[in-house]
Amino acid sequence: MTDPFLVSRLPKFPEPLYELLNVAHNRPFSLLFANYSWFLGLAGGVALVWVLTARGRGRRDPVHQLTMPLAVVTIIAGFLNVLAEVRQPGRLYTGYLYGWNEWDTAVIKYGIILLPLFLVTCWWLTFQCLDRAALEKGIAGLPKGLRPLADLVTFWSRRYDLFAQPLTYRLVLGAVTVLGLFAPLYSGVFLMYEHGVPVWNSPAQALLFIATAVTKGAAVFLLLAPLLYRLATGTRLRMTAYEPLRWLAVAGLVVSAVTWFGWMWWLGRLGTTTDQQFTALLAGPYHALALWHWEIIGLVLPLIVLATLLFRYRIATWLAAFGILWGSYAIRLLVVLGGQALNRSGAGYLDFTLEPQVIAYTGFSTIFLLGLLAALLLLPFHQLEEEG
Amino acid sequence: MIDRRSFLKLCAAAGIGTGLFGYRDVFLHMVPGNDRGRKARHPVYGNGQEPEWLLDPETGRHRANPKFILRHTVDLQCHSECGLRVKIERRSGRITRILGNPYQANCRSDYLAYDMPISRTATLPGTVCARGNTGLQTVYDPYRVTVPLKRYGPRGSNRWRPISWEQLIEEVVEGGRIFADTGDPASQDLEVLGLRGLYERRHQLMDPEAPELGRRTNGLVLQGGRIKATRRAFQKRFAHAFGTVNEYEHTNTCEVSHHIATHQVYPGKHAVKPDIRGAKFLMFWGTSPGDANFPMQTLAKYVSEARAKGLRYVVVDPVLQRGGVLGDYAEWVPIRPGTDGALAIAMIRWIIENQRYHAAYLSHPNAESAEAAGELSYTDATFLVVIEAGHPLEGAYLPAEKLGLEGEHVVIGPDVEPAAAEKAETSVLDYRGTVDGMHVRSVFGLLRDSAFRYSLAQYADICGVSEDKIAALARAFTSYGRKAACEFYRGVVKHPNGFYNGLAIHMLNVLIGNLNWKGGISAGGGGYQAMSGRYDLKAMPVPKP
Repeated sequence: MTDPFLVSRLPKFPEPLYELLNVAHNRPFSLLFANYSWFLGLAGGVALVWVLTARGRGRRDPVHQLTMPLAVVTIIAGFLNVLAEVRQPGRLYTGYLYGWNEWDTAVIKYGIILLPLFLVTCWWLTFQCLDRAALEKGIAGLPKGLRPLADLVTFWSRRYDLFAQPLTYRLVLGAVTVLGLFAPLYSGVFLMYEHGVPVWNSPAQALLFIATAVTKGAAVFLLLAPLLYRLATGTRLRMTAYEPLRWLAVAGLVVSAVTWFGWMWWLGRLGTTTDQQFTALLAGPYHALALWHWEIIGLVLPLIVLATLLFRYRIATWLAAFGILWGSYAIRLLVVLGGQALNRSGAGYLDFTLEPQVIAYTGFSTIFLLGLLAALLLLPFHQLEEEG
Repeated sequence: MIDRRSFLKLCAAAGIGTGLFGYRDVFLHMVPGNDRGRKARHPVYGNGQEPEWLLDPETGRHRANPKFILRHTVDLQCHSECGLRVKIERRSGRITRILGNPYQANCRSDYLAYDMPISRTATLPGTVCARGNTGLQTVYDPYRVTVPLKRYGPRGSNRWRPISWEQLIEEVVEGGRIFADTGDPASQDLEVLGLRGLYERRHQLMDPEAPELGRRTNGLVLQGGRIKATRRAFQKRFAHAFGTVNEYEHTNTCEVSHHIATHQVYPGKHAVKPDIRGAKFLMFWGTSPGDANFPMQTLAKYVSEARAKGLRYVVVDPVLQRGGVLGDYAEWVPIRPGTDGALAIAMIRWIIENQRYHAAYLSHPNAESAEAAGELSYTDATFLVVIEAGHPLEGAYLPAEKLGLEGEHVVIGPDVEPAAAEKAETSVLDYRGTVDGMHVRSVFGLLRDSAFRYSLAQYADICGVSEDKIAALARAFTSYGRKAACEFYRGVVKHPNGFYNGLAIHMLNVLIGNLNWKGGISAGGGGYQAMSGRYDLKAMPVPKP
């Protein structure tokens, strides 16, 4: 099947030419970077959903309450993946001591400050969104020696309400908006800073990562909110009130589609030789990943479901939301691995081999995420009267 | 049955515990700041290389790191022969890095003056291409051949064993049954005449029945590699002194058609180069800047700089190379392999048909006339050639003496009378007529006739470039005055018709009169004098074989 959007002036790569004998280049990133980008994108997406739903039923809104724990665990999962990716993980914390001067021209020096700040903010807001009375009760029920520690961990959230004053509330919304946009943007801009990979040197992927982040931020609630709410409170959540989320997903899907196809159109017609080779790669060995996993499963089908009456069918919505999450991973995989696949010597392309270690770290980080999420769901959430 | 909170607690304990267990190695390496399992030398840069320069924070100046030695040398891995700065670890004597020599013109556009102290070049590094960098791998390649290898099986069996230099010299000089130990029935009993025996017979003919084969010493064939200038001079001297004419080097089997085509158009020169930084439009035929040609990195640098200042260029090549030839500043023109001559002649046809050639320049028949008009060179475009079928001079320049004129060649002057080319101030460019009873045609006229033998459509069929594209290329090429040039290399000339491809492309340069003009084609000017200096090889006569 020919992809009508991928027009390359280059011939397709012949299938058997997976690895040519050539000067071997170390790849800077593996699947773990795609994981990192996906988790951070999801964190940013749910944080933006948090901002958008704040104006509704506020802190008592189930989606609103579940957002911050989700953001916390996905940011941590992202960090775990990047720790496994770098060969010298100590660099990440030494960056705080030396990074500002030593990484003078690198975007990483902003990332090492803003992403942990994002994590701390989400952690803080997790407790601010809880039922304060229940939190007070919970901490009071702890042994006396542990209460100061609990207060420290929760930033003394039982003692004040960050959202009580309109000004602080707006400041918090503004800060979360900035950090929520930065998180998905960062991994795209980070790739742009990688020298020698022309495909990455495009702002299109940064925009694409933001758009897919917003989409999956909405999708994750369409898919998981009832389950998470049930686990957190033991009560059922009616999703009818959250239909507006689908329009957020639709908007994200449209922006993603325009960005992606526009980018491919530009690369195919006006791009450099390497850009052309990238499009040839997408039309050749990476064709299935590009067409099926990203364009059809990740973009077109969810758009059809969420923008039409098919949305009324729960199973269709779930499939669409799953497709969005799946597709947003596929696009990151495409960009990260596709950019590296192009041989700098111009001969063929380098195939991607999935290493067991990478699979293991992917699995362990996901298991850790689920475990931490389960722990956070033990916190005292508000329960809406109409549920249950 | 387990309740909800217990289920969550179980999941939390299992998930966090399993996750931490899986990441134990990562955390263990993270805490001490390890780099790939070892303690990192530097907290930020890990186990990256220690710099060869040390910055003195008090003076702000660099000084050499005593742990390393820097040596300047020349990269012989390709013909460009770029300068290298090689970083050698003093303790081990091993090369740890190869950089460009910033004093060498290939390695920096703004290469440094020789009198600049080396310590000031710490922040002014020279560049070196990917192949230059891989010199490190070449030097330490475990399969690098560092001793003579001798065949010990039948020919083609690819079985070799190392021998000593002494054995090599002994066998080559003294000869004998030197293949006795090979076990090859075809050659083990072969009695080889060594260099000594051959030289002793230097006065004998190789074959009395075929004296054109010369003396016995022609039996020595010396095939060098990519050797140039000084090394070539020594090879030539040795071969000629020994008495053999069979002395070759790389070029004989490589781009000789390029050199001959160039020599035919620009006598005495075997290579011309465009003035990239002054040009407004360039055509690269069979070579893409940044991918091929030499000096490769210099061409790439100059093109990069020039296109930022408005240079447009076209790469004519069957293969789309990676030199960034797409975009608004460059264009790739795919062509059928080996048909570059057809495209060039098609462009010539269009240029002549549309009178886009530099007629004034081409009309100057001698250096004085050209110089008086402010030109830098002249051509034979107006020289008359005999085209009388069956005439003994058919295809040759009409000699001036044939008409009783004082000079060597004949042109048609402004009064439409024959005149000596060397004396005429100007001449008729496109002439066909009869002179002294002989049909003659000007050189330019012959080029025109040749180009007009086929239509643009026919040329397009041959080369696979459309008529419109041919016309567009010809129009573009003739739209920038003399600030345009054609450069070609192996992709064009390494075909049976390579010489003619090259000749046709050179003609494009000639038609716009760009020789030695800023932005045009340059026939050399300066450069490194390899044959003089420490050893004045020019002053040493080369013996005749």
